[in-house]
Amino acid sequence: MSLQVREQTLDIWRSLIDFSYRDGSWSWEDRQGSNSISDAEQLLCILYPATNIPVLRIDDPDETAPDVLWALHGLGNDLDALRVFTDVLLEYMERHRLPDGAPDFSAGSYLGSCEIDRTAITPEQLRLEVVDSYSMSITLCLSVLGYVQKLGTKTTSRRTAEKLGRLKDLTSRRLTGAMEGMLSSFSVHVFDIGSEPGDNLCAMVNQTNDSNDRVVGERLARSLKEIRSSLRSEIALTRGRSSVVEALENDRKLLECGWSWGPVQSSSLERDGNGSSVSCFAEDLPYLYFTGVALDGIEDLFSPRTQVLGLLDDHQQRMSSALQLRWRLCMNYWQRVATFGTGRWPIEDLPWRATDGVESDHFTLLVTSMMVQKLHVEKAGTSQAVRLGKVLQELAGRGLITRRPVAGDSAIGLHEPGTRVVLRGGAALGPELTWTITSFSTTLLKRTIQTASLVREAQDRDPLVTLGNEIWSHLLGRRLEERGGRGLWDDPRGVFDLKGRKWEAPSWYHTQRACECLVSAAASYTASSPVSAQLIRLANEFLAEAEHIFEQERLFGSWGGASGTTAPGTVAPVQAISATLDRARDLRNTRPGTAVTLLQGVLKELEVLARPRSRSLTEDAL
Amino acid sequence: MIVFAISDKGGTGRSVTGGNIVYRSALAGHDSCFVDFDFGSPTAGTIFDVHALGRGTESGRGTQSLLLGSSEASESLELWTASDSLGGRPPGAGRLVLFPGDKGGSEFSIDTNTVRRCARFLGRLLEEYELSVVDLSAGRSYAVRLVLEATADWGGSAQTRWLVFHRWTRQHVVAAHGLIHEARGILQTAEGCGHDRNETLDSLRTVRTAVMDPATADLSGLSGTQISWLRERHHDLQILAGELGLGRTRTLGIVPLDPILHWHEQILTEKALYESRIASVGTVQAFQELASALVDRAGWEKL
Repeated sequence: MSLQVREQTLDIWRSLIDFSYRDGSWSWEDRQGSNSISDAEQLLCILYPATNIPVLRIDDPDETAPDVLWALHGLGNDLDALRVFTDVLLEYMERHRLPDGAPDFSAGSYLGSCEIDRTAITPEQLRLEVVDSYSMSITLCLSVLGYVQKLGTKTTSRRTAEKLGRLKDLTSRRLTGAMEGMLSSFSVHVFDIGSEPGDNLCAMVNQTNDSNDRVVGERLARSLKEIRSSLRSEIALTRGRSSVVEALENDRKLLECGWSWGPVQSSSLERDGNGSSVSCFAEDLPYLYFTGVALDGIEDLFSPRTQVLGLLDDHQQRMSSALQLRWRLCMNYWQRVATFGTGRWPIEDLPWRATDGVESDHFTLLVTSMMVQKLHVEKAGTSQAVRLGKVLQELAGRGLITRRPVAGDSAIGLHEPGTRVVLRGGAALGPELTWTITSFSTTLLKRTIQTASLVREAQDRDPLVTLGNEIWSHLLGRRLEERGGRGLWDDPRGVFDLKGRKWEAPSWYHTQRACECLVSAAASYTASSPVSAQLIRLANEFLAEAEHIFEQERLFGSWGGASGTTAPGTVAPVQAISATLDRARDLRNTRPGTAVTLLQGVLKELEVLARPRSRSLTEDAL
Repeated sequence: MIVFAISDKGGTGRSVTGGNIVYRSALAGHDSCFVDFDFGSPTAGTIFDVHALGRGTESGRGTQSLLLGSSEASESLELWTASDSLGGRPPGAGRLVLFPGDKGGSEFSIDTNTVRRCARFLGRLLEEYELSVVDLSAGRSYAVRLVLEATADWGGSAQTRWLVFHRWTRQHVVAAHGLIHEARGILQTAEGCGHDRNETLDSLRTVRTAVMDPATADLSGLSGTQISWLRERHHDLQILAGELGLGRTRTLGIVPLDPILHWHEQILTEKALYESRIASVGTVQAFQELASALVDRAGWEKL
């Protein structure tokens, strides 16, 4: 896939700093204002690639490349840029704290309302914490902790060292808060086969039509046995969830698990052990979107990087294990449901219908996304990846990325205004709250890149590579072009014929997700390139021929005496050919194409030596 | 501000860089001086193009004579007029003074009297000049111990700085690390003289000289493979320097490889830059940045 990761990422950094850093101060605003999530997204536009693409790292001045430092020069010349960036990180951690010093995860300006007038949302509602914030904070805090750790060993300034110390304390505290919030937002929804959610789920998983929905539902319930018992023993440890535990004991019931939009009503969430408690209002129902968001954040907790650097303290380590268990249970559950049965997978039957009966291609994308994530983490499942790749291709078509819209095409709604979900339970504090999901294209691209990297055969991978390129050019078309936000995201008017106002300011939500795509692409390049078995065979044949002729020519003494040289400029010296053959032998299994090219050069050289003799041999014969 | 310039090996461009820093500082309006404490081989006369001082002064009043007590005051030259190539003091410039070494001098052992004389001399420099660069000889010399003992009771490091010069090669990086951190190195000697180790380290920076940066240098004559190889070595060296505590955050400045300085150790004057145009802009810029980073707190601390 040709995403030009390095150039594009550095371009984004330059544009972002141009927009956000003026006259020595950092501006947190984007088009929707500022809140704990969007501010984190803004920082992650820089920090996420810098953390996850080793050649773009900024935490070690000795290894930071000149062009990388140059991309940050809007902040300050040379190392000054890193000093200022450290100050900005510290500002974030200090800015998003409650009066008592505990970290603040409120969603603020990201909340929407069913009411026409957004101002109807009450101040209490604006303070509600949302899983998006926990997830972004986990990713941000882990990045910051690694940054602090590395830079701390390199700084020679006491002031910087003190700042890093403070940054580390605040970040670690925020990470703890985010993990606690994440645990409290985990939700298990148990229901009867004959109930409305039961009917919806059974209809979704029954793809063969050789038995009725209920029978298939019973089969599903049985197959969830292990997941159910693991959930039961895990939930039993949590206060206030006894009714769920009880319901899980019934093997004939169905369930779904994942994350609700915030801490669920039955949970209790205390912060920092200082007694300040967080209000828990979310209904105990998993949302596909928030589940996906949570799974993304939790994945960072048990990434090799987090473990190698030892970024978690003991308490965090314990919570991390609990979250990891939920992560795995949730993944297993969705994989079971999405691929249930022997015929067509439920997920291949677009669009996905959620248990509340709402259908959307976006939901299909979210479920597919979870499955790709699972395969990607486990680094397995080529055949499944090929099938998921086809779903992604279809979604790109239905989502109008690879197809043109018809007049008044409602699928544009997936992008603008986006898919809206109601945050059930939030109305206890004011009007009904909503959340708008607009990450269709970026999620699709990220998962396409990951799926492509799982597919080994070139013929199966090629359509996914093409798809990735198409989504990326769709995304490039959605970049802002106006002054200020130029080069950042998102303006769907660039690719769709839409009325309404033109955006000038960027959205960190979209820009950060575009950066995630670049990071995924970089990860797929750094993995060893996929190799075709056919080409390896070819390289071996070439090698055999070249080595044979080479030895023959040596035997004939084509290079003269023991010195192994011949008249300069006529043919390559014997050592050069020998070295090239060695190199080709080394490369034939990992980069057979390169090996073949090298061998072609060698064969050409050898032919120069062999040709005159073959003529003289022929003449002798005559 | 007194800056002690030192290097582990010879030929690092320590003196020529030090001289250029002093010149840039004087141009910027600060009274500045260059003190030749390289007793074995005084070279400052050559660098500043003072013909009579080619290999040190013969007046018997050089820096060594002063320290040994054979002369009451040290000879000093106003370089704007004494130098054959500087061509008079430009308006707005500060004083530019050279304290030359004695011709035929050598290393000598130190006693309490030399230390006392040295302390008095350095104290006078501090009063008279905004920036004094004291050029110490290469390696672990008596001069290092002398100035450390002389400044031991000055309290704090606000008035003195150390610049360790090294070329951008593996050997030189390792040697510079040794000069700073290993036995009888600067830190250990300083501690032995009663300085605080951490404060000394805070007041110490390195200067990389003769650096061929594959990212910026004009390498058009090299093959792709050669450039690629150079990049790798440069990267390795950066990592090594970081591991040895000589990384970017410890580095005050980077002076590029400059053919003019290579052939002729000299002050890159404004004339050489704008009239005869033999000076490279990049090199002059590096000297300029070094001169200002020395006097600017933020420039010194960086990160």
